Order: sequence, then C-alpha cells, then structure tokens
Amino acid sequence: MLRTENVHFRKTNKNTVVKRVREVYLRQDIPCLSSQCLLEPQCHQRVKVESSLLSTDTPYFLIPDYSVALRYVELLEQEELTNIIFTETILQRLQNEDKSRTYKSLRQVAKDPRRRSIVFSNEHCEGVSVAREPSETLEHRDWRALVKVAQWYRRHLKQSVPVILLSEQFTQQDCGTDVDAAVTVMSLKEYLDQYWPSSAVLHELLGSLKEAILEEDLISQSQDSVVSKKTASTGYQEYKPMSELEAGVKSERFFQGVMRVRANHRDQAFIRGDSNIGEIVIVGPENRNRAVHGDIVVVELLNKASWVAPSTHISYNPEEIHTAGDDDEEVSNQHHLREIKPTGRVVGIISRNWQPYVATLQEGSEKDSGSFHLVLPLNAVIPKIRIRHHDAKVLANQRIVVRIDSWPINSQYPNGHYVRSLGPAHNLDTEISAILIEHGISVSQTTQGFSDGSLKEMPINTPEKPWRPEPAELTKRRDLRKHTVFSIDPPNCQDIDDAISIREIGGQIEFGVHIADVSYFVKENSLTDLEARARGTTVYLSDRRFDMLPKVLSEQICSLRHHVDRYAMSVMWTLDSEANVLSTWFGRSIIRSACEMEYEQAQGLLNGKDVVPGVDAKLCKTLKPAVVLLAQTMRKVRARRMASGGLELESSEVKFKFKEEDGGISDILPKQPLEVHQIIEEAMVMANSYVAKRIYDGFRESAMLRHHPPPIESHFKMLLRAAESRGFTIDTSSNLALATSLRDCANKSSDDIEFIKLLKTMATMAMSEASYISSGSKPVNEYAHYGLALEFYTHFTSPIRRYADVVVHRQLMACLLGTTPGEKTASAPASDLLKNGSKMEQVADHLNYKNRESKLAQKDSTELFQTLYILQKTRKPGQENSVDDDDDDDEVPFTETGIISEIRENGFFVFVPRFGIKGPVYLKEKSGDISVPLSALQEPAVAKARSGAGNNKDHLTLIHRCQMDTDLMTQISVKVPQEALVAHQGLSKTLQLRLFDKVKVALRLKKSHAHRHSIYMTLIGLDHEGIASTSLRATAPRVAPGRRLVGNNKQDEVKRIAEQDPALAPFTERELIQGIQAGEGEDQKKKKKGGAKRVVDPEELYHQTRPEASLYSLIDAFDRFRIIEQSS
Amino acid sequence: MSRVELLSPEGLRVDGRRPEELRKITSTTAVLSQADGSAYLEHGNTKVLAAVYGPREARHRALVLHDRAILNVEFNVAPFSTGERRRRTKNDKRLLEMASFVKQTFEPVVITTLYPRSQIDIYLQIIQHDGGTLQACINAATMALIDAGIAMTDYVCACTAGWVEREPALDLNHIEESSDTSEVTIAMLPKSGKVTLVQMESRLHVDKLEDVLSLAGKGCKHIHQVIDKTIRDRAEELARKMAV
Repeated sequence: MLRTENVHFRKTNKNTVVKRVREVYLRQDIPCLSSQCLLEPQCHQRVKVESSLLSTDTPYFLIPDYSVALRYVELLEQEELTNIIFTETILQRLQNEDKSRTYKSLRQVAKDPRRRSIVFSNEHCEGVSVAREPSETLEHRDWRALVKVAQWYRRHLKQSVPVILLSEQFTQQDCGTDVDAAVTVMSLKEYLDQYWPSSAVLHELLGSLKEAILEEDLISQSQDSVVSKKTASTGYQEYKPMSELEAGVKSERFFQGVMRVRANHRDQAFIRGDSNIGEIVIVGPENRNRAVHGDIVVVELLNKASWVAPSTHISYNPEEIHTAGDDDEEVSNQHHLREIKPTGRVVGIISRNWQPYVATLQEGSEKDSGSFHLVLPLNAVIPKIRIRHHDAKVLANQRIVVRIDSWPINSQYPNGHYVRSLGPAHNLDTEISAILIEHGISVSQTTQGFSDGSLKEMPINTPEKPWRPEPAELTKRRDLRKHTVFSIDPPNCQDIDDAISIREIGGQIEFGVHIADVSYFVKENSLTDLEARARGTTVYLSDRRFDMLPKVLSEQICSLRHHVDRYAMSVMWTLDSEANVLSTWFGRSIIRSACEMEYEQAQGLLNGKDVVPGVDAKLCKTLKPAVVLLAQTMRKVRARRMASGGLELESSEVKFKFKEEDGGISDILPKQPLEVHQIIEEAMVMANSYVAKRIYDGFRESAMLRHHPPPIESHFKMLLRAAESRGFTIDTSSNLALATSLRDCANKSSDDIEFIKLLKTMATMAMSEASYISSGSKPVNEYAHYGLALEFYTHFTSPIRRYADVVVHRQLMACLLGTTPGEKTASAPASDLLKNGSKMEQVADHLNYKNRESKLAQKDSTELFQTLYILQKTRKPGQENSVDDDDDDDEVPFTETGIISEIRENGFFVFVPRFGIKGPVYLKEKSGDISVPLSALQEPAVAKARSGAGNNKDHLTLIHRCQMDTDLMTQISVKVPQEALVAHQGLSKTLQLRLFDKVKVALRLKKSHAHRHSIYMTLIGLDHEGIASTSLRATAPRVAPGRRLVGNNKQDEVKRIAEQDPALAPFTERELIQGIQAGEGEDQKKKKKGGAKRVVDPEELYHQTRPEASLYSLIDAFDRFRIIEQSS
Repeated sequence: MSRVELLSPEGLRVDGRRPEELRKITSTTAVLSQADGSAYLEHGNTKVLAAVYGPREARHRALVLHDRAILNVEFNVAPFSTGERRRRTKNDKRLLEMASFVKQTFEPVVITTLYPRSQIDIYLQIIQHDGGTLQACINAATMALIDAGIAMTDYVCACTAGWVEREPALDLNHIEESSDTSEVTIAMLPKSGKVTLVQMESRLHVDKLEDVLSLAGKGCKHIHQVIDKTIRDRAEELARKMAV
C-alpha cells in the first residue's frame, strides 16, 4: 500500500484559512469488477465485494465525466444504458459540491444489479490516481483521472473491450494518444446517434435535459450580474445561508420539517414542528418561498398578529389556487373566530425532494409560439412548472412526465424539463401509468418483466413436468400431509399464501397456520430476491396487479394449491379448550391442502350448512367441524385481544365489476365483511405475533418488526366532535378506552350502521401509520402495535406478496437453525443482512415507502375507476365520445343516498357508502352566492305529494341568495329568503344539516383538463325517509344490492336510467331482486333461530347475502378480471 | 450539509483503507540523547515523541515508596499539532486524563519493585495530531521504556477500534473520530493477551462491543510485530557497534 497525502486549504466558518492534510492510501487490490477480468482468480474474487459486475457480453464500457453526471443523471438513469463505470472522482466531487441528490441517483444506478454498473474507486487505486499539478484546474485534473481510468481498463482487460468516455466538456483531442490504450471520447449526442439511433425516448430526454436550467446555472448567472437581487414581482426572498439556518434551528428560532401542502386547500402548507409548537401553517406562495411539497424546509415564525387559522373551505377548482394568494384578506377576515395556529415563512431549504411529476400542458398553451410553456402537474399540491419544448403541439392533451430543475428567485414558477409522454389524457392506460409514476412504481414492475437471469433461477413447473418435492427435502421437513389443511381466500385467488389446519386431540386443540415457504425458493441475494426487494410488494390496482415474484412462484409452486404437495413454514400451537396456548412449534413442513375454500363457502359451513356450492359434499363433511372449531377458538382469542384493547377499525373498500365486452365497469361493490374474514385475520394476527416474539428473541437488534405507534391526541378532534354531535363521548386515553367507547357507541346506535361505520372510519383516520422497523433502531417500548394491542407484531403470513414477510421467514429460519436465542455464534446461519441492524433498518424504510406508495396507488386507481363509473352513469346513451362536452344539462342525473361526513364552511362532504365515494357538496358558490335546491327545502309531506306526481325537476330549481350559518363543524343551517317562500309554497324556512344526516345527492363529475376528473355532488334533498329506510334495511337488507331504493321518486329515476342505457345496467334491480329473493326466504327463517347468541347477527350487521344467492355467483359468469381483495 | 461518507459501499474508508487495516506505522528509538530512553512514532499522520527519564531519585520526598518506583507521566500536545493553532494550558483536564491513562497502563507492566525509592518519568509530546493519540502514546512509551532499559514483563501495545457506520473499523483517524463514532482503545500485553487498559469514547451498543474489542485485539498483535521489529533492529545495530 502506497501512502500519499492530499493537502488542501479550506476556509472555515470563522473565515480563517486552514491547511487540511489527509492521508490517502493507494491500493493494489481495487477490483476492476468486470466479469471479463483475465486474471486468475479474477480480481474481484480476491477481495470481499458487494457489487454487481460489468457483464461479459457488452460491446463497450461507458465512463461519464462530471459534466455528464451532473447534468444528465436522468439519461444515465435510463435502464437502456448498462455497463457504466462511475469513478470515485466524480462521486467525490458531487459530494464535495453538495449535490447529494445526484450522488444518490448515481449510487442507485450502481446498486441496481440489473444495470450491471459499478463504482470504481480510482482515487485509491495505485497507478490510476492522479495528483493535481500546480496551476492545474480541478476540471482538468478530474479529466486526466478519468482518462487514466479508461486507459487502465483497456490495459487491464487486454484491450478486449472498448471504453467510451462521455463528456460534454472535453473532446478526443484532450485525451492524449496512447497507442496500446486507445480511448474514445464522445459527447452524449454522438454516443446516442451512434448506438441508439432509433430510441426516441433517449434522444428526446437528451434534448430536454440540454435545455434544462439547473441551479448551478443560476449561481453562475447571479455571479455574473449581481444586479437584480430583489425582484418585487414575485415576492420571493433569498434563502438564508445554511450556517444561519442550522444555528437558528438549534436555538429554536427557526423550525425545520417536511413541508406538506394541504390537498384540499392548496394555498396553505404546513410543517410539523417539534412537540412544543405543533403544526406551523404557511400561507400563500410568498411565504412558501419556492418550496415544493415534500421539501425539507426551515421556517421562521411570523409575528403573532398575522397568525391565521387553517382554512376550512372546500376548494372549488383545482386550477384556481395556483394563480396567487389573492384571497388572503378573506381568509384573515373569516378566521378570527377560530383556533389560531402559528404561522410562518420559509427562510431556507435543507433538501429538495423533487421527483418526476406527471403533468399536462396548460390548455391553449400549445398555440403560443414561444418555446416556454407552463404545465399543470396532476398532483394539485405541486405548483405549475415552466418547461421548454420546441413543439408544444405534440404535447397538447398528453400526460407528460416532467422534472423540476430549479426555481430562481425572479421566477413565479419553477423551471423544469420534459422527460417523456405517457399518452393522451383521460385514457385509461395513460392514467394508470400516471398513477404508477406518481407513486414511484418502477417500470420493470409495470412491464411485469423479470430478467432472464431471475427466471432461470425458477424451478420448473410445466404440465408435462410438474414440480414435485425433493425426497431429500422431505426428510428435513415435518410431514403434515395427513392433516386436514385448508385455505380460505377470496374467490379466484391465485396466490394463496396461507392455509390452516385445526383438530382436537384429547381435549386439546392442535392448531396450525401454514405459510407458503417462499424463502426456500428465493435464496437471499439471488436475482429474484433483489428484484423482489426492489419491488417491495405486489401492487394491486382495481383492474390489474403487479407481482412481486415471478408467476411461476406466486401462482404455482409457492401458492398453497389444493391436492398437491407444497412446502410450507408452519406455526403449530397446542391450545387448551379455552384457547390458551400450551406450546408452540415453528418449522418447515410439507402440506397438502384439502380444499381452496372461498370466504363465502366457509361462512356457509360456519352458518350450519352441510353442503356449500363449489365444494364436494364429502369434503364438506370433514371441513365443517374444522371450520366450526376454528371459529370457536378464534372467537375466544379475539375476545381476549379485544379485552386488552384491540381496535375494530374500518375503511371503505370497494371492488369493481367489469363488463366482459369493452372493459367498462358494470358495478361497484362495497367490500362485504363476513365473520370468516375476522376469523382468518385473527389466525394470521396470532401467527404474526408469535413469530415476532420468536425472531425478536433471536435477533435483538435486527428483527424485522411492525410497530404501530399510538395516535397523536389532536388527531382525534374530528372524531370527538362527530361523536359529540350525536351525544356520545369517546375516551381516547388508551387503545382499550377507545375500543370500549367505540363499541359502546355501536351498541347504542346499532340501528344506524352507516353512522358506526363512519365513526370507525374517522377513528381509523386518526391513527398513526403502522410501519416496519428493525428492532435495534427503536427503544423496546416502541415495538408495540397500538391497533392490535400486541406487544410484538410482524408480517409473516403473506410472503408471496410482501417482501417483509420473506425477510421474517429468513430470520425465523435462522433462529430455528441457530443456537439458543439471544446468543450470537459465528456459525449462526444468518446472513449479514439479517443480523445487521442498520441494514435491516434500510430495508424496513424502503419497504415502508413501497408499501405506502402502493397503497396510495391503489387508492388513486379506486378513485379513477369510481370517476369512470360515474362518467358512464351520467353520460347519455349515444354520447359515447362526449368527453369534452361540459354541458351539465345533458347529463343523466345519478342520485344516491349519502351521509354527511364532514361539514365545512362553504359546504359539506357526503359519503356514499354504496360506492365508497366521498365527495364535496357546495352550498356557497365561488361567487359567494348561497343556493339550495328547491327539493331540499320542501316539507316531507309536500315532497311526497309532488314526487307522487311523477317526474319533477324540483332538484334542478335552485333557491338563490340564502343565508348560511355554520357552527363548530357539526351543523349548517340555511335560511331561505322571503321571496322564495312566497314563490314556492310549502317550504320550510330553514334547512338544517347536521353531521351524519342522510341526504340525497346527485353524483356529478367535474371534468378537468389537466387533472383527473373529480367527483362532486349536488344536494337534492334531505333523505326524509332516512330513519324509515334504515329500518327498512334492517328487515330486508338485501333488497337492493344493485341500488338502494329511497322513496318512490328515486325508483323512477333508476328505472329511467335502466331504460335509457340498458348496457350500463346489465341487471336491473328487479332481476337482481328476483334472483336473490329466491334464496332469501329460508335465510330469514334460519337467521331468526341462529341469532340468539350474538346481539346482532353478523349477516344482518353487514347486509350479507347467502353465498349461493350472492352477486358472486351471478357475476362469476363474466368475471374476466380477477377480483382483488386484501386479506389478513 | 451532507455528512461525510465514512465507509463507501465499496468498503473503503475515507483514506482508502479497508475497515480492518491499520495506518502506516514508522518508528525509531533513541532519538534524544539527553533522555535515558526515547522513541519517535508515526502512526499515519499522528506523530508522537516519547522520552523516558529514570529510574532516578524522586523529586518529591513525600511521594517516595520504599518498596517500588513511582511512575510519572506527563502528556503534552503541541499547539501546532492541528490545522488550527490552539494553545492548551498545562492543567487541561483532557491532558491530565490522558496522562493518567498511560500511567495506569504501565503500572502493572513495569516491574517497579526492582527500583525502590525511585521515580520513572515518561514525557509524551504530540507533534502532529490525526486521531488515535492515546494508542500512539502508549506504543511510543513502550518503546521509550525498552530503550531506557527498564524492566517490563511484556510489551504494551495499544490500538483503537470503533464502529464506523455499519462495521467495526480499526485505527480511526481524525475525520472518523470527530464524527461522533464510538471508539474503544485497548492496551494489551501481546504475549499473554492480558489487557491493561480499556477506554471508550461515546456510546456503543453492547452487542457490538465484542466485535470491536476483538478487532482492536488483532490490531494490538499487529502493532506488536511492528514495534518488535524496530526494537530488534535497534538492538542488532547496537550489538554490531559493540562488536566493532
């Protein structure tokens, strides 16, 4: 090892110049990391490396220089470019110049095993490192270093592979001539022309990147001309220097946090300060001072006189707020009554979190001749972005991907550049790829492509050569093939990852949960494993899914299908008759599932049926006692967990039914909870918690656990107020207290299912987010799971679709094979990753991120399909291509009953349980006029009389100039002006709307050019039969699975829709009712008998249909798409 | 401000070493003719001069022990040793602490009972500072003691190891030390494997301690070889001179 010194001078904070001396050791063992290395053994085999290798069959290696790395990172990020050698020279320089974002992107590329790119530590490699000569510029030294690297590679590999140096700054002349190590220098343009002449994406990207204005350009500009320091036009201010910010944050003069823009009111952003100050509001673009949603910012508080309360408006228009903070005075006028929050101003930015954004060109902008255009990001919390593109016509009405480059002080909007186009706006595929991009779901995941390398690792399973367990493996596993194992899943489930067995032996119960043994097939650090880790989770969208593992594993070999032998990881308990655990066994096993049951079939068996459709009668006989025993046991376990504070929470999930012919949506079904869901969930929770405890014993500092921190008290405000309005008090002091008071509410108002549902949803929203942690990274008292009331919890039961479970499986295996828990031995089979707390923490963070994004993507896709459904429903037949037709009068009214879930200052939100849609109802127009439809004001008696007269248009007649009053977020009252009372007789003077009132609304679609269409609603009237209809539903809950009937006039409308557009309503309700009522009579009888034990029969509680009478069997016929449902 | 990456994903530290590698050590003995024994040691960029006087008559009568010698250690850091010039007072607690560490390290190793009623002075001077001063001081002191011909049961070799980002790393330099890494210094008798000093800065998880300690132990063995070679070379040179 050669030792040299790196001497340089540096200015310190105190403005003194200090000489820094650093040692540099030059090594001989820096590997070339090329799989073509000619040495024997190859040089990367002599040292421990964790890196991918440059591939064998590449025509050339690429070495980008600093100018390329800085400006064209995105080009280097493109998956087409492989075999890139990143030199330490450019990486160090990026770090020194504080370009950590670029640095991280390059590291990411090098880390991705699919890219075959490496980092070469040339600065520490003997014979390659270059010392800076006196009076030589840094650029030239770095360039010489790169040339040296290129030449070294040529020599090292005996000139077998050409090396291309990519530079925008230097040319071939600057390279010098070396006969036996000739290096090619190319600019990016030359390179793309020569090697990727047909790839339009790369060329376009290069073009737009060239035009992008980066922050360093701004710096150099401002250095050139220090004139226009303060431009009054934008109102932005210069950021304070970093040292001042850091000092300010430490002295608590400033506050630091992630800035988030409110989605419902884009003029306001906030950061979470520390616990003393809570949330800090930032109002208006001037105060936001060029920070973008997601950036880590430093905020200075304004003086108390200008503090405001957060707005409670529902914003009218996604585009509106972008213009400027013109409604500031209005805001301050209105809010003096309400709770004032600390308000601040951004004075500096710690780090930017700019991502690729999906955007649309501003309408009409394509006609402008200039090359600068404004684009509206799809995500409304992101400001408009200024991009440069030579031909805007191409981009019109397209969804495009845009990145932000910089935000100069004198510019209203940030500068960005165009990356690529996704396709025409409002096209289903475009919108879905937009969702995927917004949530960072990688391209390789969306194309479903697994690399050839990872597919080669897969075991073979073809019809001719079905996969069979190996005899050698059989001896190592516990043979559970004699046990009756069954799985319960949603219909058509392909990736079955859990199965259950239960039996009674001599007064004791032997209960087993068997999980697909993915970790056996996916070896750690194999290509499949790396790919799965990168993907993190299987992403389920409403109409498709993106797998984490290749199909051959997820649907065949790992999936616990029936009648075949499958490897499993099992947890077996011995329970006494009171379901107390006597002993636990973990281990690998082999099972043969007897039956793939569906939830509804299992529920059927549980309800006392001897035979259920789809399951063989003989099998039913063996399964039935098992299911019943399972239910009994799990009820006890659940009751015990509930007693210790487990919460029963709710969220409104829906499923979509698709029409076979054109992929249209035929119906939206709310997810129907059955008792079996709870039972399976409980079994999984039990398995998860036992495994969590076990791996924590084995890996004190690196166990992958899932924790759920207790919620922040202030988040309960809405829930408390909501409950108060109904006269309930809710105790949120602990999870047990919360669970008890929620249950209390539920018992007292058991006739109003929607109210309870909504209350539980509110409670769910108040919860903190559960996340994966590595046990070493948090103190022990933070491991607990608040929602489930468990001390230890992890994810173990779905390894096919969650990577965390795979890690947990490996840790469990390592625990079982290792020695006594807690003791670390060198021979422990755990790999470095499993033992290393900080690495595990990284994995956990990555998985948390992936999980959150996949959930958000799922939510977005649900909303997308809901709007599509509304679009179908409101469009008149024969107007198929009237997307840009904005005329509201042409719409077919589509009315539903909803429940008021949130009251705001200018309207309220209505939740329509039927479709799981929540949308705003505006009472006050943007102009300030308050209007209410006539139908809402009519006395019930009048309304009934009038609706009896047939088609009336009352709901279209608006009463204007009303007065509105709201209080405490629980009710709105609207006063009707005198003249209206005269004009229409039989009007009540005021309209009272309270939280949880049932209302009739018409669902409408706000068409938007730049954003997704959004659903809003107009009030039609109070649901006068609200109470009546509840009781109606209680007695005949399944009358309208297709559509609920509210009043007679409703039926007329429904009928009209059905007549006008038969294709949209494949089953009129009469058909449905007929179909269903046949099976219903007997159900009702049975229910009366069986309902003695529980206060509310589960079926009644959840409007549950009998399996054989359910929509499943009716719609099975055209269930082309898989129904996706999140279980356990 | 981005934090310095102390350990790159390629497994190299800031100065290009791997985690288990020492810095370059060069040493000579008998550099001062005035002192009874002296040594100069460069440990990377940390440079230490050690001088041993004694055994000689104790300066203060009151301190004299009738059955053995007393050890006196003085430790000093040159104001020019770091990039920024800084003068320390003689009573700097940090310096006194360091001196007492050295003293405690050597008390069980030097066979003081051979020199009753006397005093052995060890003067340590840091000339250049780049992390790991304690280990360098102890190593230099060992060499100076041997050079002075004072009876010891064994060499004393000291070495630091710390937890850098995700791995135990040997022999931290100044950059690594200053970014709040936990650091353990141990002094060891390489032949018997006995440890005479363990000192730790900042916090370290107890599960990591064993890894760090064993790495530091390995470092000590390695340093022993380097020091031993210098001593033997010096002895050979002396022997040659005497033969002439």
